[in-house]
Amino acid sequence: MDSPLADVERFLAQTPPFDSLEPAALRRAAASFEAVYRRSGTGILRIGERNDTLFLIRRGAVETHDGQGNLIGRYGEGESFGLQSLLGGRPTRFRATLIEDSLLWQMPKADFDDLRAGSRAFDDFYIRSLEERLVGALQESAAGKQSATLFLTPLSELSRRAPISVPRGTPVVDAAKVMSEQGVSSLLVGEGGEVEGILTDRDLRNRVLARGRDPSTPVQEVMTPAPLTLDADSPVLSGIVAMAGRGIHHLPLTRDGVVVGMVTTRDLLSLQTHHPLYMAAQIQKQDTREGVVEVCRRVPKLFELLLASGLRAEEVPKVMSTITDAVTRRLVHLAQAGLGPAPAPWAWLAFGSQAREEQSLKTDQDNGIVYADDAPPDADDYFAALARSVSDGLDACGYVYCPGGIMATTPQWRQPLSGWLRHFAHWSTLPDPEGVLRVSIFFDLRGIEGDQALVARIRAAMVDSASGRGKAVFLTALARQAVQYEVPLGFFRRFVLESRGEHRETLEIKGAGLLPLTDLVRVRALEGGVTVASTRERLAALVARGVMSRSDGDRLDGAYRLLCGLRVRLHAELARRGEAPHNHLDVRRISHAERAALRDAFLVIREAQAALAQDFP
Amino acid sequence: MSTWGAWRQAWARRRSRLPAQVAALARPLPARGTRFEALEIVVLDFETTGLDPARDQILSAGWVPIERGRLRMGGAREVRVRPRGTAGVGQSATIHGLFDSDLAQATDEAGLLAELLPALAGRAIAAHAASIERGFLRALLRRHGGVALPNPFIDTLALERMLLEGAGERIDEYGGALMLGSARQRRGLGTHAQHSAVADALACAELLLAQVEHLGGAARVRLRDLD
Repeated sequence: MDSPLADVERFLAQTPPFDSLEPAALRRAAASFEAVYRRSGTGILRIGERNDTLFLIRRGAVETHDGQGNLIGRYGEGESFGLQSLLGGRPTRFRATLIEDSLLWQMPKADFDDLRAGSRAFDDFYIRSLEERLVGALQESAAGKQSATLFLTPLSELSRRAPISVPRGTPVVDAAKVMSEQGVSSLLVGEGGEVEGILTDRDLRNRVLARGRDPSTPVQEVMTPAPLTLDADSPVLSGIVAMAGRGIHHLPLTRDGVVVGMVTTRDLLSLQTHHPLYMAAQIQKQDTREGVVEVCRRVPKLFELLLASGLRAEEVPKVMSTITDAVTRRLVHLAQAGLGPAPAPWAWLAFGSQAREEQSLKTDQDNGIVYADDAPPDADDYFAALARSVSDGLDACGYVYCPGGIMATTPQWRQPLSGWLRHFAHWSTLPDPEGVLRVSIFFDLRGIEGDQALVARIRAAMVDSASGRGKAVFLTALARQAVQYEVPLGFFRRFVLESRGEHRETLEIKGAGLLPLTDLVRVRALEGGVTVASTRERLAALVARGVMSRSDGDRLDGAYRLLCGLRVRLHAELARRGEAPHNHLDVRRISHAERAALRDAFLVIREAQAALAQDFP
Repeated sequence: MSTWGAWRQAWARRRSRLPAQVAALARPLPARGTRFEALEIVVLDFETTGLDPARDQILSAGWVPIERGRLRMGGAREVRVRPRGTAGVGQSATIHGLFDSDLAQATDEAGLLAELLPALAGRAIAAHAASIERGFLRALLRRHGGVALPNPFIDTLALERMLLEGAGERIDEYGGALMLGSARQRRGLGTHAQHSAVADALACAELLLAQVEHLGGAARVRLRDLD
């Protein structure tokens, strides 16, 4: 008979870390719980109290606060609280209060300890540090996809089209008509997803036409019977080996014995054109803007394949930015081929997400030009023409014009070095967060092409503007901006999700997480004299300089990677469905572990915001 | 225990010809003034072939204990019962989802009593629409030489009606307002899958915990407020 606690076990089996338990241990865990019901407002743990109970929320919600009344965390269904005191045996540091009528499941410490002793995975969940959990959640979701080579992409990724088949007995002439109408070079013979044989262009040539056979010959007499098939999830590498070794050009893909697709040698060849290295090289080879535009059409496909091939999701934006850089450089070279060499040393600047190397699919251009102060008087005409050409090219390649006009075509953002130094000197005196918000994009800056010495001078000015006499005013305004974002602490219920519009019940992960994180890391970088632009490199530099503790750096890095990775996966999924990219994550569609990690990430960001607010009152 | 309660228990003990019941009745039953937090309760649910205790049969019994105000999951049990005679499950399978094949390994009525009576000893019994469980228990015990149970009965359906009336709410009883699922929804417990006696017993036990909190809490509510 079923276990009497089948429902309880089912719930636990979906709840980390119980989902990692063996069936017998899961059954023991279910039986060691006791349920209580408490009304909203009831205190469950008091500060200073010892806690020897594991609390699991079955229904309802809990908030924890510290002694000063600051909100520490919010927990919902399937989540536990009071863990630090339970695990460490120390008195509770936070008070826990129900914010809804709740059904709580309680497990005595002895049973909890037994489970931890019996399962490594279960124990790991509790003893792993916050940063390990943050990164672990993403890695587990990509389990088994370790290598970053496209050869490990599942074959099914290459074949989107449903296979075309005709039943046994079909006259060859009709089969040929179907192939011609559908524009395919091969046809499957069989019914109900079964593959009896395969008929290819070559068979029609060699076995029908060359032998003068009657067009009404049944297809099974000329087909190749029982062709080799591969599982749709096999890696591309197996497909290449299978086809090359046997001299075949068509490979039906099956799943559970039913044919689901077809891959041809041509598909395999096209795969490598989506490799980022290949694509960057292709961009370099183009002699015309139209050629660059053509290569850029493959960028969305690259984005999808990068993820499918096992590249870590959080690495994808960096690869995408590399492609953007290559496109920009090529467009600059093409423009200069027409305009001639620049009249003075100069550099093409990228701002914002391209500078931070965190580009996703939908991205507009943010750029500028700096040139030497001793340039001839008419130099700006040259750079204006250059800017126009490159900016138009970027737009044609899918990097649309910046709606705010932050482009080298705008005179304000096409300046001699002294002009840029004046800009930064002026910005450093901006007193209000709104003013700072408008210019903060310029503080993420990278030189894409041209004289890097000019870029270095601007970066130095940027740090001066933050650390000189402007520090008090400017950094404080920047810090205020960074702590303004309301970071959601729990998101299991409506109260922090968007409650109206087409993105109902979703979490806007960019505004709620990525923006506050990049903003606060930028403040810390400027404060610490770090001039690199990417968020992860900034964190690494801050830790290396001893300005930030390793654990703080690791936590923020983990939170960044998690948010970045989730965003990339969301965009890839939208691209697959043919929808425009947006940042509204449906939290019901991510795993429990990712949800838990996401809450940890928000906690990390909130703590960093609190520290920032304290340092810049 | 009140004098009346003690007398009734002693009388039942003398009259019962069912050894398992006689043994179970040796344990004193809770007094009506006992607070919920000190009360031992068994929450019970039967799946039956119909609603008439004289004619219909118990196919499955599920129960779960509440002790110290807490639902103890480890004590959850379910016992399936083979129907008497050759009638089988018949049409009722469409309601409870138990088919004759499911009951092939089941015990008989005596086997059910041997497990259930010790679990009920000294405890109050709770059920949703408790008159059904009460009626079937009485009929079952009489068939096996026992007498009606003197245990106090708590009816979560009656408690739900009382809570709603106390709050001055109109009750659409025929519209299902007092059904287990509706009552659970009202107390924020969510729906439950009606697929086994023990699942229903657990669902009912959670509802009882919620009702007691809404009546003033385990430290204040006494048995007499509930039965």
